[in-house]
Amino acid sequence: MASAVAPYTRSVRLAIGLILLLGTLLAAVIAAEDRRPRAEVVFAQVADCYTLDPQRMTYMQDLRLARGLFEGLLRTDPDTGAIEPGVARSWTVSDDGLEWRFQLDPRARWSDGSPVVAEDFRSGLRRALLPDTAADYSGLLMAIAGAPEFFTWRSEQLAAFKPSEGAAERAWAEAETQFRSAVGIECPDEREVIIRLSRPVPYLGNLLAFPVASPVHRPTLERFTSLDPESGRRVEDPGWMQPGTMVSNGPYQLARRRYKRDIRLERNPHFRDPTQIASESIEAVVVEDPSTAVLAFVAGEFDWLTDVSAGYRTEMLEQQQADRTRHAGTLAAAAASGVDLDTALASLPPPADDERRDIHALSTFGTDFYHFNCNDRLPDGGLNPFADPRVRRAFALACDKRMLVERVTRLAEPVADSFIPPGVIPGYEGPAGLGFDPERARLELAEAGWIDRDGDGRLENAAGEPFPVVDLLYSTGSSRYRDLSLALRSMWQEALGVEIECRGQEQRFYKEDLRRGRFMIGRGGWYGDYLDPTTFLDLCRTGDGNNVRGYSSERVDALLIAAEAERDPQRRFEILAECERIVCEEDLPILPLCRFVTIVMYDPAEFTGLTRHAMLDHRLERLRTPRSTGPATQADAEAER
Amino acid sequence: MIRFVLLRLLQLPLIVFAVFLATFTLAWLVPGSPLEQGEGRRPPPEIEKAMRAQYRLDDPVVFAADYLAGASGIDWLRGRGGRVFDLGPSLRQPDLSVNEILAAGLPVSLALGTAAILFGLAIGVAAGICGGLRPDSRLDLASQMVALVGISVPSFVVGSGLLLWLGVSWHLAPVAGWGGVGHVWLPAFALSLPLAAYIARLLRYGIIEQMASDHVRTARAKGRSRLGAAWHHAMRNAFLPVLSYLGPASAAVLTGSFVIEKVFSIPGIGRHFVDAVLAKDLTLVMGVVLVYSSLLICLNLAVDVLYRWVDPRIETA
Repeated sequence: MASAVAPYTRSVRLAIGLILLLGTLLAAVIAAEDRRPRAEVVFAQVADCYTLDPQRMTYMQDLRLARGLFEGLLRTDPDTGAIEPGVARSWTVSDDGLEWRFQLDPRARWSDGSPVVAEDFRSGLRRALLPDTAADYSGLLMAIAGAPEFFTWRSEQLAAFKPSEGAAERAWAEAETQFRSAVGIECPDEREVIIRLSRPVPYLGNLLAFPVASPVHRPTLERFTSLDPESGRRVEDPGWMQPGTMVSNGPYQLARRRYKRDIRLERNPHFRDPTQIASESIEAVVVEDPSTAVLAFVAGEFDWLTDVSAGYRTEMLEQQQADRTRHAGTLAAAAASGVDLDTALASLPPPADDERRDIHALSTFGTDFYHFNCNDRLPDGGLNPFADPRVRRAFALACDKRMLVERVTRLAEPVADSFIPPGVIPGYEGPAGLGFDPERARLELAEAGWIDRDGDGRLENAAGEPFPVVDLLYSTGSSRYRDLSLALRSMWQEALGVEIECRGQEQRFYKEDLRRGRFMIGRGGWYGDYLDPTTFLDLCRTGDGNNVRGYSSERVDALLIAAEAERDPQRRFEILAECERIVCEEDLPILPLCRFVTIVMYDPAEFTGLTRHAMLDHRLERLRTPRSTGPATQADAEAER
Repeated sequence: MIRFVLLRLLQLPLIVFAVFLATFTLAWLVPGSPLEQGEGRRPPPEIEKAMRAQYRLDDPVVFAADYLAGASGIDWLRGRGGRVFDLGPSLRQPDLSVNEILAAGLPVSLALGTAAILFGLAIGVAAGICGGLRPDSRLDLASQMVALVGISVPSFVVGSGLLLWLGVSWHLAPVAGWGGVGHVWLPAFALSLPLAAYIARLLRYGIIEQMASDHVRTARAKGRSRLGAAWHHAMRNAFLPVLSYLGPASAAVLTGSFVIEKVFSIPGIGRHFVDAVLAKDLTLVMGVVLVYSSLLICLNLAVDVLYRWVDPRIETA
């Protein structure tokens, strides 16, 4: 018995010891948490920021924060997309459209109080144009005179680099000289920036409003930059983006950043125009689980949910529709008298129990589409009927898009027959597209030579080869594309009598298959980056990195080049509209389905400042809740209205 | 004992290296590129080339050797400076190093796991004792029922249910996030249920068995009350299987809370790992695997050592 006593006593001691140890650990972790009062605006996003580096960012959530942290030479008006002054309070464009001069606002300050000067912009642009930075959006700046040549020059210089004592420093000094002499960016003095272009770019303002053209705070960045003696490249330690270190010139500065958790911004005390800022602090919280995000919003933890992807959102939208229908008369009257929708919604009596007013479907500047593989043959050498534009037209004509958005996606997205969302780019009139016409679809297919020649119910071409089983590729990340693909399959089988096999692939395998051309029809989708048709049409250029369809049209390429040279904006839009017409009515390398919508949640009576413009360029400094105490007061905002 | 511990510590790098090689090979073979982004957008070819060069993604052997030299501390020993164990930059989160990500996530996962173990012990022991002392009573049936549910219902269902019921309807806990005591208890409770259920069942069977054994019957015959006999004679032996279960269970709870972390939006490390695999963030995958495998090996070693201390009759092989 005695031997059993020891283990028992020891195990009790051990258990008590362990519990005490674990309890202390737990208490220590919780005690170490940073606790600040709730921010004046708290919103939830489904994914964490990828980077806060304005030159390198590409994601929607990053760009949104960047517009709060940094201010470029110009900005776009979030409600209209028009260009408005940023740090540059005025600017002039030369008659040939090749030289843009910007005069900086002398009030512009970094968050450490130092003035924002012209050289900060040049450094930002240089950083974006250096291959060392590997800035994804550097392509937007390649119209700057000498920019593509400089990029190539530096890439070659780095490729030929041989490590030796001081070699990296010499190479960098050479690159700096090359940049100054060859690239069309000049700073005659602290308050003026001159940008020279190699061709006129009427939408340069939109490009400069993009975070990739943000200025950089040179003293901070230089502290974190070194030259890699092995490769000769400039290497930056991401430490410059840490809270307390990062210096920004936008309305906000970075106060806290916790990975996959939250980012907190606080007002930049030196911002050039404090009256623009509605809220002192803003927190972006990451909630990846779609259902948790909705539950937390309903429990009152967030003011705004940036993306609702929970499966039951369609039911929630139906409840929203019920509320809108009940108040249709009031809302129409408000709209007629120029009151914006959110203000009108906020003034309505509370919604009934089975209705809701806190969910909103916002149309975006994005088009959901399917790719057609335009290559003559498939990678395995198989016959590709979609190399023939008539077959692609037939498939497009046999697609009932209205049925898809009403019964399959159930989000009632605006149906799209053209590539570029209509009515968003001021002054641009796109083509009508093809529409739904199964009769004409069958004719097109017959014209392409696909006819049931031997009466076996299958289509054959003149050589007697049967129409191959169509390989329809989609990604399995969400149920959207599975549902759409299955619906398209039954639509096409019924209307055209072809056999279709849907092939769902996990995201990475799907992308790999797309890139290698292993598909006949594949799920696509594109969001425009700036308010110009080229943000979509460049995808149809022969050899474009995002042209996975193998589409190549001499006419389209020639029109895109002609548009680059055209000085008259109206004429330029006409050329581009013709280009889009070829794409959407004749060649159909893509099958446009609908515009993407973003579903968001906020209570219009409690939360204001979002835009409903398709670019969804929400400005953080405009966001306001009842907790907001920013210098721009509620009264100001109302007076402005 | 010391020889045993030393031997096991010597094995550690070998096991970790084997784990590293296996994971690296699998992660490298997964198609796709960590440089690629959502919605089909690809960086222009020349940018992608620059990025590949920056992260040394062109050659798996160079990449793996570089990574291992940094992660194992060899680079540091050779006087390259920097961190002792440098797990590299995250390929998907260019602003952060893997060390920073792990430093932020590990305490959260550990705290959540710890709270879950404490909850599991409290609930499990209480339910086990009730059931063991009064088998087949209503209380016992109820606790067995709860245990069955705790074991068999997946944690995302339990988690979502608790969120909806206690968080949204009753406002007893915040729905999402991390930070205060309020944020900890609900997810920890959800995570502890399977643990509590196992402990309750182990303890219940142990007590029932012990209460029917000769030495307890002798004690009762000598005049010990039922509770006294249970406390002084039955529980001693009934607790031993619970103790041996706690070792591996703690390791599992501390490292395997991915689902709960996702449902409750807790910035722990389990979620990072799954996301990293999906995004092919090689450095983060390797970093988590290295840290977790080292942690698991050390925890198992600690459990073995404690066993020996608790019960010297146990042979340490």
